Amino acid sequence: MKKIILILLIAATGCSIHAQKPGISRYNQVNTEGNKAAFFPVLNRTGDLLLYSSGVYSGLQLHELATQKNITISTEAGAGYEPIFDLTNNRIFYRYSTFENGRKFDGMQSYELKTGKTVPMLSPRRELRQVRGYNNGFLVAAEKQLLKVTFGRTGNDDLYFVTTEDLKMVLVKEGRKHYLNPLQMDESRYIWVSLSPDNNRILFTAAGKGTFICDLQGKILHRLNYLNAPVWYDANYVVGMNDKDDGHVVTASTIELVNIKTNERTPVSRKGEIAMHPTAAGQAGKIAYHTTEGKIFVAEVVFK
Amino acid sequence: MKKHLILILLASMVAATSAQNLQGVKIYINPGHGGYDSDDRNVVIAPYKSGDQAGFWESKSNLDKGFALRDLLQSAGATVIMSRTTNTTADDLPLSQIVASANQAGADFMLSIHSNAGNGVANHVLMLHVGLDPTDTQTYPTFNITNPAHKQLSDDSRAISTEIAKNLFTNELTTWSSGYSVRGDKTFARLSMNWSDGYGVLRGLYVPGVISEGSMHDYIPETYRLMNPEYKWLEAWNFYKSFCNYFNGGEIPTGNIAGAVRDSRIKLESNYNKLKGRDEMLPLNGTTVTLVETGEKHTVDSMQNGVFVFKNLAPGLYHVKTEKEGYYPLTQEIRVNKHAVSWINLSMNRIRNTPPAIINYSPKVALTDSVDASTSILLEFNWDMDEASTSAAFSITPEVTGKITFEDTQYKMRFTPDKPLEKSTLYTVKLAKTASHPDNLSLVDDFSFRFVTKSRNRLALVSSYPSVMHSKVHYNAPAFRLIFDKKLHTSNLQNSVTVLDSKRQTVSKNARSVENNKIMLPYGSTYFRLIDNLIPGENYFLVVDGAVKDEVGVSVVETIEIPFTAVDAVSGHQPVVDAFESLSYSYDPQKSAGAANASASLSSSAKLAGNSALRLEASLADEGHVVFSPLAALSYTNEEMAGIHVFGDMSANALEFEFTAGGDKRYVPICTTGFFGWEFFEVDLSELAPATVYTLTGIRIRRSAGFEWGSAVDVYLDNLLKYDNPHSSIPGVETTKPLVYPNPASEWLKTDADGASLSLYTLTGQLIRTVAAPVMTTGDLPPGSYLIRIDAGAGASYQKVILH
Repeated sequence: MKKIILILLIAATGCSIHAQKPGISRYNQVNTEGNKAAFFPVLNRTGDLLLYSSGVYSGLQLHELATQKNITISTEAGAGYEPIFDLTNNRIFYRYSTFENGRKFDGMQSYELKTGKTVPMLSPRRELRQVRGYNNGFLVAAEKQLLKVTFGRTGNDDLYFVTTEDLKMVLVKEGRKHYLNPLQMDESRYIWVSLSPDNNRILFTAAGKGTFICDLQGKILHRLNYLNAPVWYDANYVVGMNDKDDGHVVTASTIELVNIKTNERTPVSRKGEIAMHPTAAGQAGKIAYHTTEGKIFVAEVVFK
Repeated sequence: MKKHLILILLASMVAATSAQNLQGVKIYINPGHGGYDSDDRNVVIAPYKSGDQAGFWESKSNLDKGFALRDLLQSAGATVIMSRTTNTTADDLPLSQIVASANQAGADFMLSIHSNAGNGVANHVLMLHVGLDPTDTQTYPTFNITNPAHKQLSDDSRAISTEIAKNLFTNELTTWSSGYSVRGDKTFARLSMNWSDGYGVLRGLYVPGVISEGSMHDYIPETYRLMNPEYKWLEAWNFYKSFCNYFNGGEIPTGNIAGAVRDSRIKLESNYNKLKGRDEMLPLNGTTVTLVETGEKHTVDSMQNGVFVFKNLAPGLYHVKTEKEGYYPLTQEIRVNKHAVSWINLSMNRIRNTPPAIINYSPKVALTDSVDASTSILLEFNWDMDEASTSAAFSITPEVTGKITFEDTQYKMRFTPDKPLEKSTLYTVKLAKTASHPDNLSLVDDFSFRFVTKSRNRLALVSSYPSVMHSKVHYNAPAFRLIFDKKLHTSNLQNSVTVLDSKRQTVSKNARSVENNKIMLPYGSTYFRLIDNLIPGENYFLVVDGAVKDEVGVSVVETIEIPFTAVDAVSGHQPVVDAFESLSYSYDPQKSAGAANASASLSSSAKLAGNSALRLEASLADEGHVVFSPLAALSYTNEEMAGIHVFGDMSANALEFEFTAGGDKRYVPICTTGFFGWEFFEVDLSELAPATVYTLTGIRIRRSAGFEWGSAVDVYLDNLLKYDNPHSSIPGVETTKPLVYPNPASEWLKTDADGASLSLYTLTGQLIRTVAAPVMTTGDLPPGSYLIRIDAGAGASYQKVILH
């Protein structure tokens, strides 16, 4: 009961905040290591740290927004593919990819922000997919299993985790695995799946169909139309890219902040930019994205 | 029979115990395009119309290959994710979704299946893999080859792409125009497409990947092959083999027989391009192909490809039997090896069981009629003929040298004379009965026919600008005009009428300036300008190749070379008494006769100097003339010269000044306008009465007899000059050029050069007459402009003369 009241309170607070319209107050370009092209930014929840990688996800850099300082976390292949900050902002969890007989294997490592210490967390294995922060470690889908990898003892609380297996949507809830097919597709092609901050909705893109939000039973709640690489900004907004291509190359792309209730879109990136792959720290009011030339910008969001 | 059973048993055993193992390997297949829409590629081939979804679409072809590959990979334990399994516009995913799908599916490799376009003439394999060419050191936004991880990704992608390319290139059913290419997508896109960061479908992919352009779908024989499901399966099988090799999945224990069946002699008659070799031959639709050892039968489809495939065969020796009505059955032995395709191209012989006969021939005309001397001789048969015996059996009387060729896959034999046939001559063509077809049956009887040729066997150049040895061709934007006695066939004019410089290098024509057959019928013409100006003082050649022909194929035969010299036609004499910057003349109907539609106007487009020139136009009847009178008076005396720049119209009409002093009216010739371009003419006025001031009262254009196209007057004038006569003002000056007189002449021409001989040429360079004497009779020659060559002790010189 306590929990329900808390959720209602959060929802009410959210509504009052977002009765206002979002806008962008300023942009900051990230000074990357050696001014090299940088891609695929990932913000931490408090919006003061940012990870970025190269154009093929090899290598991982940590950038401190306040000081513009860069730290090289890894130079390995795959290190920039969906790294995460842990829930306490103490560590970074990231992968490294190797190939044996042409087959890809991914392992996981942690990087401690205070000490710079690197710790192997998971030996290379096949089919390492989505990673999500969890207590003092992370959850990761590997082959058909969900692994808890933590420092010290793991908790035993309810797990909420969403991933894909061969592009089929999989929800792990309260220890049980559920295959969801919200669009009843003959051939499931779900990508960019993620749980809402309150763990009760799933944001996803169905290739060729659009981007949607469903509940944990797979019931469609919101149709967001064409929006790629979507991520949650907060409980009420998602941010994604509206990219266009000619079949050969991407010809235009804007980052858009979408009100999931009204479908109203606010441009985040600027005219003339081909902006892609946003990351968001809603509680800090920040959205970062990269351009096709390899520049990373952090946009500051204000609600007026 | 026992042997057959063993092979069948072996085949079933190997199928059951598949040796290759791709367990756990995950491949993401992206069959490119989708939706039969504007982003798709529809190649129109008979019998389908543009847009017909049953015809060739790249999206469909790519998808069929993708399905076949999926089945093969899955049979070996691999996991396959496809970006689409239907063919709608929505399936043609955004690039970002394709890349994200491959990454998020955890694929080990991404294959984007495509076919390419090469303007219908090329056919080759192109692999565009993630990364760079090995020699490329360029840094790209998403790819830096100095980064070891990037280099590894590029190298791995190149390794598997090379494996795929090699295997696709083993295809012996197609005809390749060149070898295979394996290119880094970043390098290729930069150098060939001018894109900065490679192909979008590979950008952001963090596993090896390739765009496979397996062949060229707009090379029509390949388009037809790509309509065949078995042919697409072969491409998929070669992908599959490549994956087995790359992922160390073991060898495929079976092999395949892939073949095509075509006629041994009959060529595929169609107007699309075919690379030399197999693709020229007629595919035998509907042929029944049997694999003797297994009894498996295959019927070749109706899509002009002849393709058949026997799949998944146990290694061993097999026999392929082909049967088709009207053809001799054919059986061929072929060995099947594991992990391989055995390619077999079969040529079937038709059954020709009746003797050959001539069913048509040309020229076929009555002897009371006649044929063009340019004709070739064509014999058409009821069977395709044996070339050697048929060529040997051919004769023509009187004897003519020429070339024998066979057309329509030996159903037709053509004899093309090296030169046009003789004029007004009776020819007899004979084909002896020794001519046979490939089944060794001969004609029943000798065959012969006769025809008579017409009285014309050359296309004649009747006028040209420049004419032979013309030394006054204005260097700036020169215009070239050639007029022939018949309307031209224009297909080869671009390269067969050329201008060469003194080093015999071609001076390029301005293609947009070319105008053909603008002159009145029955004449033909070609007019053109050059891209660049000429160089004053340089010598050039206007060359008319012997292949230039008229509409009925009568050609020039002997190449004509017209030497000429470029000059700057702008005279430096002063003063300019009329620059024609304002309209200073008008048509004078009172003085004109037989003139219509006459006008004087200013032209800013055809000017030589200043801003404009005076344009004089009229239509003249035979014997007619037109006079344009000045609006302001200009005076001249016989002590002076009148200089004027004229842009002629090749009409050979006479252009004259009209001078008047009281009742004395005189016409002084300026030039004949038988040229086309600016030239300067200096008019000696010494024949005017001495000590008399004359007023220039008109410019007259008089029709010259014998020039049919002279009725249309279109002449430009610029910068009229007046200056002292150098001969009268500087007495005693001698000219070194031998004098030819009278000019114009009628009965005879004479030179004052001692011991000279004279040669008379037409303006097109044809020698008319030579005399080893300083006098030549000309009374029997038609009137017109000619060129006379004077050979004297000091050498040769040329002068233009006019015969009345």
